[in-house]
Amino acid sequence: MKPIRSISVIGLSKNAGKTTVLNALIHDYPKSGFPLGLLSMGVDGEQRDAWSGREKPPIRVRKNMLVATSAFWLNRQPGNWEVLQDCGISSVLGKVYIARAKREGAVQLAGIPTRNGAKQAMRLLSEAGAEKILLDGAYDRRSPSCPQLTDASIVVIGASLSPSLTEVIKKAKEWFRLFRLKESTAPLERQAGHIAIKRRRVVGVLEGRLEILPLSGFLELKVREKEWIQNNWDALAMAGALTDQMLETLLQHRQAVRLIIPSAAHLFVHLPMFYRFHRQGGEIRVLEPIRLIKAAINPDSPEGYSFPPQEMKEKIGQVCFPLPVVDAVRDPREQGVWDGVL
Amino acid sequence: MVFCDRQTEEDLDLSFCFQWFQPLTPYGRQRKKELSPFLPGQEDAWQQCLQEQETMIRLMKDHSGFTESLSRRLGNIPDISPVLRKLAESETPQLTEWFDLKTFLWALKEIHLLLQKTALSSLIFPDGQTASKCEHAIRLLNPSPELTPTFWFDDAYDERLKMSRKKWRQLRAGQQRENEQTAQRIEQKTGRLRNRFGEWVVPKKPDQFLAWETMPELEHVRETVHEVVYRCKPVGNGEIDRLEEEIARLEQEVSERLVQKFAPLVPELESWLQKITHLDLQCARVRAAEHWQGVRPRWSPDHFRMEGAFHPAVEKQLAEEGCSMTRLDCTIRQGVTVIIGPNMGGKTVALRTLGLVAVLSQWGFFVPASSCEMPLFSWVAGIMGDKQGIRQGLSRFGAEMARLRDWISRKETGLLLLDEIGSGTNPVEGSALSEAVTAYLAKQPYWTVHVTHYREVLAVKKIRLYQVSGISGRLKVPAEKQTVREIRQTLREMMDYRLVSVTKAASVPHEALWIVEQLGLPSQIVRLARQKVAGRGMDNG
Repeated sequence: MKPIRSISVIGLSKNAGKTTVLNALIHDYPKSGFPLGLLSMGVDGEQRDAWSGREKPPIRVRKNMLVATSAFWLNRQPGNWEVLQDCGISSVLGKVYIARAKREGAVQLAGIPTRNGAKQAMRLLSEAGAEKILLDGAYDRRSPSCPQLTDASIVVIGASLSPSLTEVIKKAKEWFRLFRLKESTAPLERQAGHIAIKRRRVVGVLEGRLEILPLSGFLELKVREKEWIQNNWDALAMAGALTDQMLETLLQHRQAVRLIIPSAAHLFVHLPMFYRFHRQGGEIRVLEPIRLIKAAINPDSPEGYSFPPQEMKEKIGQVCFPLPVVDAVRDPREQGVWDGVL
Repeated sequence: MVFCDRQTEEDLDLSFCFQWFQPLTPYGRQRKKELSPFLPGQEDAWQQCLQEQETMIRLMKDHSGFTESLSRRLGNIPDISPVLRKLAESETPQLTEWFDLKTFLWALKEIHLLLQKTALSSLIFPDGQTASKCEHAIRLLNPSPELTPTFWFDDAYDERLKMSRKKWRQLRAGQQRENEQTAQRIEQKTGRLRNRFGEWVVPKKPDQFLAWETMPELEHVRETVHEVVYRCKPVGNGEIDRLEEEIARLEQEVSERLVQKFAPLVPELESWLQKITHLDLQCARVRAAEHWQGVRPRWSPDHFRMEGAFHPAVEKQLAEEGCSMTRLDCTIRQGVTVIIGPNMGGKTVALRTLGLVAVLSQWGFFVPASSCEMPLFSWVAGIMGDKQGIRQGLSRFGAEMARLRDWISRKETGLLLLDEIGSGTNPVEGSALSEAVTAYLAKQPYWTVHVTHYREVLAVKKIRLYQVSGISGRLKVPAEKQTVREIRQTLREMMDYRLVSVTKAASVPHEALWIVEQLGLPSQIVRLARQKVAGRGMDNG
């Protein structure tokens, strides 16, 4: 298993409790050794949550930890930081810099708006000596968890997802079903997947050979069916987003085959359609699976309501089994919940 | 006054070459937008600019990795305008602004080191003290003996700051120890462990949490319907708070002292910025001209001579079609130079090449040619079919004439490029106009190049004449058996695009009818057309 050098913390909803989980990881990170690097992606990381307008909890850093954040936040505590490098990235709150904490304290991580920007900041954090990098993922569940950005992800399921625990569990179940798709391991299928990405075309696998179809996605199936329907494909690979409508089209053409997509971030399918596709013999696999290492729960919503913590933990544990579930606030600190993570 | 209007820039396809002109610093990018061409009277500055580029190119050839090293350092130059503005107004820059200033100085020092002992050093940094002055400024932002490119309000700035920070650390450690002892006592007393944030999450059952409410060492943090959260009351915060205020005050003091030290250096910093911007633009020019293997243009007061000139956009297009471009050799002098030649003979390409070479040269670039000598023009204008005017509702003819009127009302000497002037109206008036315009311009101080088909123009006195060599041979494969693309290709192969200087053209070549014949138009049409031409006393080439 590839060692984990970067972890993204992603929430299933706004105000899920990502910052608490990040603070728990920072707190539990071994005090000796190389420093931790921290950054945030998207619109998160501002003082107020961009979605709810609520004041966001700060990230607590220890001396020597490295951050990628905006000039605005560094200049608020000028004595706390040694500025190491300009990342060449702009955030809503100005230029983003790599800085080293000269003393313990709190900081807000300015959201880096683009994937390329986040990659650049992660590279610079590594070059500055960060042994492990924590990425505060954007509210958009699909972008930061991409395996291309971090080695592993922790998903946070918060009460803010719904005032009903039943609904929270239902949504979490759907998320885990869709975001834990199996990796495509057959060499020919993987090759088809990579060609599909490079050429932006649907690639068919049939009896040990590949065929590049004149389609960029399955939405074109209806109008160009003659060009592909004659074959009973073993697998079809595509590069773009996979939607309910596309699966429906495939089913209409009795093509419940194995589909290869780049990652779960490309999946825009609802669970009933997903199950229907599977029942009829179809299957969806990914080239790059998301490496989920923990599920974290937060039974308290900023709206004021709460779920019984133990009940929520048990029920989430059932839907995400065998993924371990942590409650950063209630689990005793000595328990070593981050074994294999930090 | 405009040097070259947008329409001419479009007609010359200047943007094709300018796409490679990419300065690396924020200042270079800004200056690129404000850049002005070299104009008559600035010949020495123009040649100095070109001389520097020549030196750079030599350095790049002699030292591998020089370009990459310089580009990397230029790419590290930040925008320090906000810092300079603050320093000039005795305002205090912020932490990241001090860092930007140090980054600038650091990059300047490295660039200076790189250029040291090269011929460029004296050109870019004529003041031999730049290195020591830069080192001094860096030291102001780096009080510790070890030099680093980072910035912080170092303990070494102020002994009081160092001591206050030390005391703060001691107090904070003591506070944490005390908190830890209190927390351990509470854990022993209640049998409940803290979470990692030092909090006790207690179920909200009266028999449990009420006892916690009464513990004097604890404070209530938050509660939900299920739980109440407590933590130890912070101890000794008063002294820590006072020290934090003191530290912040001392850091501000350090920053203000830096302002006092840097304020007198602002003129020097601005002058360094100008030099770096100049260097950046020069490097960007060199990198751009690499794309067309540019050559240094030389000054000549009385002729515009080029050998082996070409238009990079046309060359690229031809290369994509598997063809090579005939390079242009010609000499233009004040007055009118007429270029005549057959259809598809490359006259317009020659005109565009001439204009591009002139414009690039005056913007300080090496030019796409094997040699070039030219004066500096006050303006360069092309009247080559005004699409913009057409869009605005003017006819092509009206738009051309309006632009011609504007340019020839200029008193200064310019380069005027005319493509088939008068062709947008009826042939009788068009030819008369073409002749009249040529005759008028022959007496003006402009450098005019006129590409035309009208034989009447050849009657104008005191014009110089170039002729496209033209077509030789016949089609080997009949036109009807070739695709349009193949015919085009064949015609290209048969066409000799070279310009030949002639003292007097025996006739205007009329190869249009030959070409349409080869293209396979019905023979009746071609025959009738030839009869008409003969009837009007023109030979048919």
